[in-house]
Amino acid sequence: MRLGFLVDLDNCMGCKACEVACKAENEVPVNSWRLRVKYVDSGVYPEAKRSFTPMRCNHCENAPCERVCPVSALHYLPNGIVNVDKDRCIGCAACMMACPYGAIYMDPETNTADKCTYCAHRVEGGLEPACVVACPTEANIFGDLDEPGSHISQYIASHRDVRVRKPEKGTKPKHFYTGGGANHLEPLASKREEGPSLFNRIGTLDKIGGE
Amino acid sequence: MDPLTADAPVLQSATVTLDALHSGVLWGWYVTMNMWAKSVGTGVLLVGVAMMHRYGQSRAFYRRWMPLVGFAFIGLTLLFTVLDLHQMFRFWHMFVWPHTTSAINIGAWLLSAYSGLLALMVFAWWKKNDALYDRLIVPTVVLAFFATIYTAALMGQANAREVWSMPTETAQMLLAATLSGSATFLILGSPTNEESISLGWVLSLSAAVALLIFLGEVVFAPQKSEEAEYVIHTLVSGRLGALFAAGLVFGFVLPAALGFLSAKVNRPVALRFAAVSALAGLWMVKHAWLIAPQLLPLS
Repeated sequence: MRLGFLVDLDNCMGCKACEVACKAENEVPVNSWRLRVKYVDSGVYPEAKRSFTPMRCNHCENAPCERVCPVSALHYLPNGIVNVDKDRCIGCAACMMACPYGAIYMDPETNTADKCTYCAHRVEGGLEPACVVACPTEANIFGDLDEPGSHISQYIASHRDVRVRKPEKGTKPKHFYTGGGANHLEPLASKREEGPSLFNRIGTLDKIGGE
Repeated sequence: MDPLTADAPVLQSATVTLDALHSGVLWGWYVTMNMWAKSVGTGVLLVGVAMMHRYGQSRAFYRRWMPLVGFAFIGLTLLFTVLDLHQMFRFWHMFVWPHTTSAINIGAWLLSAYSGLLALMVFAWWKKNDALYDRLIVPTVVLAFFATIYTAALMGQANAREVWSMPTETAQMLLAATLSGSATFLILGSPTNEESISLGWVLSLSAAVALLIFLGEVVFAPQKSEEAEYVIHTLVSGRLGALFAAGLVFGFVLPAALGFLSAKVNRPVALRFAAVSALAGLWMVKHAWLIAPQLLPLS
């Protein structure tokens, strides 16, 4: 079994229901995110558009975070999920230095690394991840990549524009995207100007972790 | 239309309008202190043993300072390593649940073993047990070598920070150690004029080669990716440009020049100034080099 994710960016409408469901399900602290939806605006009125990109851990087959973790707090589950053992984590942040996707955060309450686990606890009980259940447009597709008949395998087989983030890093992500345009997945394809923006403040955390 | 190029004409104006706050700088000056102190802590062994081999008459000087300075600075390295952990009281997990693919874990074992041997050397020096001291030299130098270069492996594992993974990083770590080791002995005051001149040469050559590598790799060469280009711009001419430039001047240019000018005639004041400048500049360069890749937006 090799669990994976696919987001159809053409279906995503940026409602953030997945974000909220993830926060609630996993009790993710304020200013921390396991899953977030990034908005990028482009063009000039009337030729303007807004694109939405949900981003979470890619559960790479060749995960640099797993390799660099000095105490195996980050580890593979038999179903391919890259899981975190918060009781073992020493908070060295090496995983955050290694992850090319910025998908790992330092939990300010536990002072340990944390990230999306594809809701491993729900999956173990036969449920789908919370974000999948919450998505009103079924833009989030989750399933077994090794099972040819699974929805995700068939979706990948029937779309020609399936891609992953930063394939040049050699991490073999198990999180795919289809639809959308160039500025969805490339962080440097859009300007990121620090300061107040249309919806919130674009910037960096003043403090990482807790006391 | 190809979805990858569908919105290419409007990309110039693409702007992030909603996103979570990025993490920013996670590894700050504690990690800089770690790398800097380790350069001194291993450099004094690498340079000291070479000097002892070359100048047998001054063995007492090196036999005293090598373990004392080495132990103190490796202690500082370990202190800052632990202080930087968000769960510092779990440091022992490294030894109970070792993950051997992690350079951090290998480094923890190496530094622990190295500091243990240095402690034994201090003990042997204090008790004037020359036989024990001499037996400890070879294994300690071997550990000093690997303790110096493991950081390059650690940085190489940071897949998200391409600039830390440059192929010459191992050489830069070794040069930082020889630079720091020679600078430390010059500050402590080497016993003879001839030894000062030799240490000045080591300082000068280490600084010159390190500078050339930085210039070639960071300033002159085109980068292989847009991400690396972004980081190098930040380092060389962006937010960290002034710190990096000051580091290059104080850490490498001045020591290289002053060491070279003292190649024939011992100029103790100039060499000591060069030594202090080298240590200060090395800290600045290491710090800028550590911070710049962390300012890159990853998503």
